[in-house]
Amino acid sequence: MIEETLVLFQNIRNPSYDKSLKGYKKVGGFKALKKALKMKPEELVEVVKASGLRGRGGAGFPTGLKWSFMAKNTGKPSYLICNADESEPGTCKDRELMLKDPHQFLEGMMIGCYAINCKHGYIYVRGEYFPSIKSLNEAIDELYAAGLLGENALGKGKRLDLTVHTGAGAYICGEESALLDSLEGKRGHPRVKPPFPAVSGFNACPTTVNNVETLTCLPFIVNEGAEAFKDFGPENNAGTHLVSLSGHVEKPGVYEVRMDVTLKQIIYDLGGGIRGGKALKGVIPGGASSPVLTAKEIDVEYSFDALGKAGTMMGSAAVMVFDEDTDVVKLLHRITRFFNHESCGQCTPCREGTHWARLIVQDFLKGNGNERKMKRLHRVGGNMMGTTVCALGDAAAMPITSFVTKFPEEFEKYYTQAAA
Amino acid sequence: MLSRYPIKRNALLPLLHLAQQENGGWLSEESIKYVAEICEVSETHVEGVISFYTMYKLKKPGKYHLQICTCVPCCLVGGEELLEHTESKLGIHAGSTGDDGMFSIEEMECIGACSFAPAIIVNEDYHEKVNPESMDQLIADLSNNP
Amino acid sequence: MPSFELDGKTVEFEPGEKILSAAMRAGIQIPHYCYHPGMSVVATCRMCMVDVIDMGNGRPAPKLQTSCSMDAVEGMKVETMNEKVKDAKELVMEYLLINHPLDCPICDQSGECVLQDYSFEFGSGKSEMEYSKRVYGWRDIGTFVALERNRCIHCTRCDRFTREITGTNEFGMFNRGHELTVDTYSDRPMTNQFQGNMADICPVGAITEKEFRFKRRVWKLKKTPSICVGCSTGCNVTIEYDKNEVFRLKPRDNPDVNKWWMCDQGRLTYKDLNIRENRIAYPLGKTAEGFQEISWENAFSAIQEKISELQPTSNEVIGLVDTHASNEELYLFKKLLKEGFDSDQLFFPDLEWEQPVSDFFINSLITSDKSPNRAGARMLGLKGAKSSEEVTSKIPTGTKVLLVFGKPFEDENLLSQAGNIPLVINIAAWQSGWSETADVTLPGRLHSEKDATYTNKAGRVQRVNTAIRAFHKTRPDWMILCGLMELLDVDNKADSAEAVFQELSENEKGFQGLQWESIGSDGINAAQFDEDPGRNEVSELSKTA
Repeated sequence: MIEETLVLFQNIRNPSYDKSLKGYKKVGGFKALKKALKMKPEELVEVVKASGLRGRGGAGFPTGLKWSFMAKNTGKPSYLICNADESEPGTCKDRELMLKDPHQFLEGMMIGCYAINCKHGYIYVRGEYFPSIKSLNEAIDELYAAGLLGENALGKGKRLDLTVHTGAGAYICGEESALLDSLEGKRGHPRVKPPFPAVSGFNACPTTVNNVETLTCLPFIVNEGAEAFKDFGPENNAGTHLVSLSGHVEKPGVYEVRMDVTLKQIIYDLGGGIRGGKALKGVIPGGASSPVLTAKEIDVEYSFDALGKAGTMMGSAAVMVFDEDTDVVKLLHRITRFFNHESCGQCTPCREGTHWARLIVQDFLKGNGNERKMKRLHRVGGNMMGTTVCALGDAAAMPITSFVTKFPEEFEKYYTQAAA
Repeated sequence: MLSRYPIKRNALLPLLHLAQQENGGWLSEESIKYVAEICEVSETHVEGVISFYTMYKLKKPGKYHLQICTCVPCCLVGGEELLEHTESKLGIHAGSTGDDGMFSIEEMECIGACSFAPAIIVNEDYHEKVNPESMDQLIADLSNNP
Repeated sequence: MPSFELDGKTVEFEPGEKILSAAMRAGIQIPHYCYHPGMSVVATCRMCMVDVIDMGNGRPAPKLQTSCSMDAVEGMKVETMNEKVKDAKELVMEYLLINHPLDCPICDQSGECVLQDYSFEFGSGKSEMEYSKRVYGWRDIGTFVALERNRCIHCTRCDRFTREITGTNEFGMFNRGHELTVDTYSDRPMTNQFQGNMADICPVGAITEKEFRFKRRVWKLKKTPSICVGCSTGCNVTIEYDKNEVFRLKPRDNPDVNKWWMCDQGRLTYKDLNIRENRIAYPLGKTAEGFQEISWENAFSAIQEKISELQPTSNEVIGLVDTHASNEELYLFKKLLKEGFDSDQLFFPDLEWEQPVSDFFINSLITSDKSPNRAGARMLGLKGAKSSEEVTSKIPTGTKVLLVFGKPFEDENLLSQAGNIPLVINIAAWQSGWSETADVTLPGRLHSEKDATYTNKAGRVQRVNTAIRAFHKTRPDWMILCGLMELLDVDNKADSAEAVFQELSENEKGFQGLQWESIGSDGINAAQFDEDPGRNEVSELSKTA
């Protein structure tokens, strides 16, 4: 029977925790920042590289490596932008951090700013997250009042500012180049890469975009060291991470685990198993864009690499569980409807493909399904893979092809009675 | 607000939120013109931005704007039924406002409260683990608070 | 120069150039919609995808790459015609057509539509889409163009055009996903002066020129390269006509003059090429009863008679010419006066002119000098006069012969004073105050009806080619001037515009070394030009957008 491993959630799980600056400092807050400021930025980058920290936003890219890509000596300011546009269906972990322990996250952000020589960091929070925005702004005000932000924040004469920037309702703005466009005051269209943000990002300056949880891991790494972080998990999958468990489980919620637990353990040990004693039908393991797993496939280690080998992905670590009574075609329809709504529309395969795929699934729901349409759905959806400007095309394609392949009998229920 | 960004145009999204707040929850032509001026961009640009994002409204919403999520996790635990229930209870469809101006309904994609589903936002407040009964209670409470 | 391999061919590229751009320069066609050499790269249509089997480091690219956005690298190997790429093109075509209305039978773009062409070449030939397509209504978006949003394939060239090229930001993208559309803001039509270019860059019939809508099918149009004579920029154009009627002018690419653009006023000059009412159709002689149509022989003999009668001396012969005259015409006119009458009293209107100074190159295309050859007149050393008053003062009372080419200095006082001159000859295509005053009027031709060269504001010599058949009894103006020279026993061997130009380039310092052939369709800069503002500005601005 597994339990949570508390690192990021250490304070949050304490019912009497005071999340104000005073309360955070009481439990040892901002020691990590002090320690980091004594290192050179380059050293800090090496520590993060050694820790094996991988991005927690969905792509799992090694953070230290990403930082090392930053273009240097360009004469332009460097920027660290925090991606708090948590919009992947199933994901609600960043909001927990921002709402319940904002200073831990902010300390991580400040460490990150120091590491890449950023003087003004921006936190792009999705517009609907009113409570988180309020929480962050209050915390930032506290930091300015205490002199931890502003003049001399990073040492004598080294100013640091943080600004919370609100989004306005677009999933695509979680994609880093679309986020940069949105931050610049434009429509959130992903950019063609190259040039990469590390060379030309926010207002054409070198930029790194990191997820909230990724940055929140930094205080621990600085305080306890890279090895301690690595120790938590299997090789190449370091640290603890937050899993957002939702759907048909007894105890949905956000749990912090190591990466050597299995998906089955998360669902049954932490989630309390399927509600109402029902049987499991399937699991979407990594947010709506990940390939689905059937009930037989859940005995897989919940780590970046193992999930990749199993033909799916970790994504934003959002586990959505559905039971035997679930109508899978309806579920797929909701997913295709989501991607159709959120496609930015600029490139041909995604703009037309998400719409067409949704129309085909809708046709099934109307009772007009047949084998030809199954094949067409698989083709239309699958063709969005690898042909688009950004990963939303891939993200929209994977659920479609995986559902069609793994639950064909569900679709057959909707075949027309008449001949195809 | 403008001073927090290197280029005026960067402040466009937060400023539109502010303009919307100050105008009772929606953006009029004057608001659009004003924001365009202070951000030094064309009105076409601002209109393009507004039409891209879902949160900017061009029509006045109800006093209580009910944003009901029906996305995948909420859908699994009854989000769509909650929406239908609310629509029939208030007699208005998602995307419109009641004649008395008290309530308006909007169907949302994932609002990031998945483990506490079904979830809704009323104006700026989250309400989680909502079911039809608690929805009715909520509507009643809000109606008594004009 | 560094090079890479494309379908087995070696293609050279400039450092920093993209695969598509290098391929296009080498004459290899890679299909594309959203790419345009004059605007930023967005790589959103996905039509130009190619298979980079070697990125220049021995490894293949993980997936198909858009050639418009990928930098060419020394040693790269690219394939554009293998199965993978063919499949990709087919799928992009399929996606594009699922919401396209397919109204080719009523669409003006038909015949010059890349959607049609690529569909034919790369499409699968069938569609599996069985649901309704999205529908918008027709929109009037500007003084010059109309918008048919159903046909839009979202290449976003029009959006980038008003942002990057004209800087007027009148056009933009709205909504998201499959509802993405392009439009103006809030029913405000566009007012910039370059809207016609948006119809040119739109790969389909979503944006069309109002002037041209429904008038003629493009495959019926004959095309002749020429230049626009609306102002001194001389944008390179193609005259498109059918059955001797001009239907439109479209810009030709010329990086040294107009790049890819022309202004709407220039496009509208196509109408002038069709007007017949004010044209002079026959040689006219003034008699007591009015103007009489006479034959060319009679016209010339009448002139000869009068000249023998008047016996004018060198300071009794004046020539006036407007700057719509071509280089050949100006040269011959100068020669006629000099060698026929020993006179160098040849005046042209040399007015101040200006062109807008702007961050955007396209604004410099419209100059205030609405004639095409002032530079030519200057380079040939003709005398400039700043006003009709100045010219009037240069015409002494005893003037016996006044030769007027075109309609320069059309001023009441000058015209009435000219009434006192015994012999006034007007060579022109259009009726004017001069044709009313002249004793003999000889009908010339428009630039669309003859071969000629003009010198633009920057001293660039450009050619026009005959497109429209001659109107009634008009003659090419060089021929008329040669006829007059013959009357005066001037030695002249020129028997074509080309031959005149040959003589001109041999004898005139400014045109030294230029050949008719080498001018070609792109034009060529003349050796020296004392002003040179236009040329410097073009070469500076061509480094930007």
